[in-house]
Amino acid sequence: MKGIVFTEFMEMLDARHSPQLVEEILDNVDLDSGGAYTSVGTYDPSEMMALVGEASAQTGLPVPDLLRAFGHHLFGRFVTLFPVFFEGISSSLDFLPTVHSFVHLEVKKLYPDAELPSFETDTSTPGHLRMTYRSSRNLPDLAHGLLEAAVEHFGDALVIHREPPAAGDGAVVFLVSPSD
Amino acid sequence: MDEITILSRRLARERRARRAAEEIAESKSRELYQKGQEISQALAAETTARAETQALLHALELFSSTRDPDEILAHLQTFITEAVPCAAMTITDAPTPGATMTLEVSAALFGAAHVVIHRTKTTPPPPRGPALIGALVREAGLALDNARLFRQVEQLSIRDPLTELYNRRYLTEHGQRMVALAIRHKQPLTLQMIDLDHFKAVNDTHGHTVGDDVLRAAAATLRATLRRSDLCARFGGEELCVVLPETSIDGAKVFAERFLTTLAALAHKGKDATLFHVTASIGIAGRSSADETLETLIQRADAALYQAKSGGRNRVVAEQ
Repeated sequence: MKGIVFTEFMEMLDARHSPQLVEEILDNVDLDSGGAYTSVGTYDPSEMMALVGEASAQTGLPVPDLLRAFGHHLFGRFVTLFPVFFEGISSSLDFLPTVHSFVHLEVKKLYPDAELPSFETDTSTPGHLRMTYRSSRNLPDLAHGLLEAAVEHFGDALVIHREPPAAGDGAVVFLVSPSD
Repeated sequence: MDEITILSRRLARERRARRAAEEIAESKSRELYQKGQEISQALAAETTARAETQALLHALELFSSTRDPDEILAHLQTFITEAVPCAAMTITDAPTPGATMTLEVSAALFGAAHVVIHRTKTTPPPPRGPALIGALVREAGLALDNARLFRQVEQLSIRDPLTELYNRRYLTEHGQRMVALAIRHKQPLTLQMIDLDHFKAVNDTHGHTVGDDVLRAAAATLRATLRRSDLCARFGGEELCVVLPETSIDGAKVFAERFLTTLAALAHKGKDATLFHVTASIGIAGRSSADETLETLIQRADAALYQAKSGGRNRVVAEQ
């Protein structure tokens, strides 16, 4: 898992809770990296799971809620750090398909062996979007948070409905449709 | 935990993260450098290949621009010397189309003291060494074949097969050019018609094979006495035509008399191994006006020839 996920998570905890909390979390988990993350590095996804678990225990927030909040935070950071992905796009229905077709391709140019989640998009119904999330790290709550933040960022009148995972490949389907 | 401890722990982690980032940056730089090297090498190889193709195309152009086998071989030598710095090289050509051409190249470059490249009609084997050399040799061989075939065809079309003198077609073309040149340069030019005496009798008595031999002998005698600028052609069955540029009537007479003497002295082997001699009659005409043509000269030479025949044969008659 790319370092940026780790660094942003730590920053979020630091800002929204306290530096103290961060230290306490690190004291309670056994990390190969020792918590010394650089955004350009690559680390074991299990470290992320450990951090999230401990953060949930320390804050009392359930893991899914914590991940969804992190999704919100992360999206905002993406907008600040990588404005090029948002240039000339005015709606989340236009943006979301580009995550798979453009954003992740660009990431792979810099980090060829990056393992990224797959977001298959189906735009066959105008005004609607059907996104199928698949990832070996399996963090649908994080994806949910990111999607919600995207819709909010573009100010779209859309709602996100999440379908329970189908039996088999663990894919999670998000339906983005007009709110009325 | 007090603030100092929190900050020093964070600082320690930041330092560690920074070092990790530096290592990653370094390794990425190294990777880029490697890729750059690979691309340079590929480009260099590509450039060499392109240069070789250009050289080959150029060689093909030169090979096909000439019909002279010697020129083709000279070009091949130049190209190979440029492509491969050699200690020594000899090209041994084979004269018949499709036969083996031997190219011996002594070059340390090939890692062998001696490389022999044979070009055969069926398969051109690639030599050890640059493929370009093989291609050059193959193309040169083809060009040589063409040049030689062209020469053969060219000669066939302008030569009389029996006597190997020029044929009438060539006389008509080239003779007219010689007359025009003489007119332009205001030089004298003579034309003589030579007709073997009693040639029909020779064929009747000794057979046509002997008759052919006599013709060949007469032609050979004639050719031996000609200068480079002179033209000698077989005009008809036993009629030969000689055009002497820059020659006066008197000069032509001397030439004709000499020929008659030499011809008469020749002994030919006839039927039942008998020996016999043959004579000829000659009529000479000289360029006289600015609108002289080959035809008018031939007409007047023919008229003089007729006089020689009716005057007793074995003689020279020049127009008045």
